[in-house]
Amino acid sequence: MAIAIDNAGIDGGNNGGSTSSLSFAFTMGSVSNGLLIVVFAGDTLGGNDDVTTVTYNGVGMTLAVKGTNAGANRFLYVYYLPNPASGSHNVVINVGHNHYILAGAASYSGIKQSGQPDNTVSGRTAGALTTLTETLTTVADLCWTMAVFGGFDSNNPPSAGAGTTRRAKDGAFGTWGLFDHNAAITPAGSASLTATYPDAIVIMGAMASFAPAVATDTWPVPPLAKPDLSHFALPWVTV
Amino acid sequence: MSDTIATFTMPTPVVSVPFALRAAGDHLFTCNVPVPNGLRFARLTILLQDADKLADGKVLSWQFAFSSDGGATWQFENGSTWTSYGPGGLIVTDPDGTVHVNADPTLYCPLDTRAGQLVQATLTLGQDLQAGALIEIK
Repeated sequence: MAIAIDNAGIDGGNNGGSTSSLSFAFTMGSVSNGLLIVVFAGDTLGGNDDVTTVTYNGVGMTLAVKGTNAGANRFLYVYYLPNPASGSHNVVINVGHNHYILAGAASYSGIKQSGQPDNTVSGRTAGALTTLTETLTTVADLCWTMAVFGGFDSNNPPSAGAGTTRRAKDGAFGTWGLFDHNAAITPAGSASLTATYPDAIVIMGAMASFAPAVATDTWPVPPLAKPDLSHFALPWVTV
Repeated sequence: MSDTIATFTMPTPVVSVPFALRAAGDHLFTCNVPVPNGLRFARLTILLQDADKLADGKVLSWQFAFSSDGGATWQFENGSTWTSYGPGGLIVTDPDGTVHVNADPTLYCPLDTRAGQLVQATLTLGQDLQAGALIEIK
């Protein structure tokens, strides 16, 4: 089963920084082997890296990767949940102190339901630049890669670079964008996602790869041929 | 209790709900004009007195909802729960660098997919409270 996009991404808004929670509605399709990805920017670097729970429909989500690189704008987080309930339910993010929570989400089908993520990486630009490319090595064949890129550039959100599709963005401040490769990585190996901003800023990224539910390749079965048994023929012996 | 906001005034829409003593429970603020095209977000600010923000144990929650059927049904969009800061107060720095000392509770909601829909904000007070509400769209 190949991985495919389900809900192509939403902006969940933000809490204005004066509370320690944010809830937003997300609609999951009726898909096989679903995966919910929630990304968000949290407190400023040097502040509180203090996420306590992330849930969807009351079910706890798991941290895949986070960006904590000094010099960047805000902590970035990628959480995931296999087999999320279909329909519209709430994502609820709780943190330990009052600070901004700026969040979004997207969902996929055809994802392996255990042993995820396949691989992760996080990093930031070396100084102020307009582009950041995150690269990891996928382990399983036919993975998809997803990432959150973040920074602050005069309320401009990050755009997708080569080989990258943006699914959602922070519409208020442009602090984050949710991206994926929009195709399977095959064979397994190096995979990159790239985000760009109009102006040079410190950009941070946190990226994960997710393996497909099952291998999509099936070996063709050739038609059975009548066996050639001629070489088993024994000479008749006359006695 | 329901307060209906008459209109959004474009292109710099600011709608305010009077600052008043409001009873514990739900207060609905509904805009009866559809969201225009090309907007990025709505911002709901609950206006409070400093004394209440610096008190202990004051609680409120607030949320946005949208209707695509003229107000017959409403779909929750996002929300949060606020607890008063206590005597220490709180300083919030927006991503754009704007600093708010003892910030009023604020919630941002995306509008880029909501053109043509009605927007409603709900304020739920955990106790009687002097409160106003400001809804801005951008």
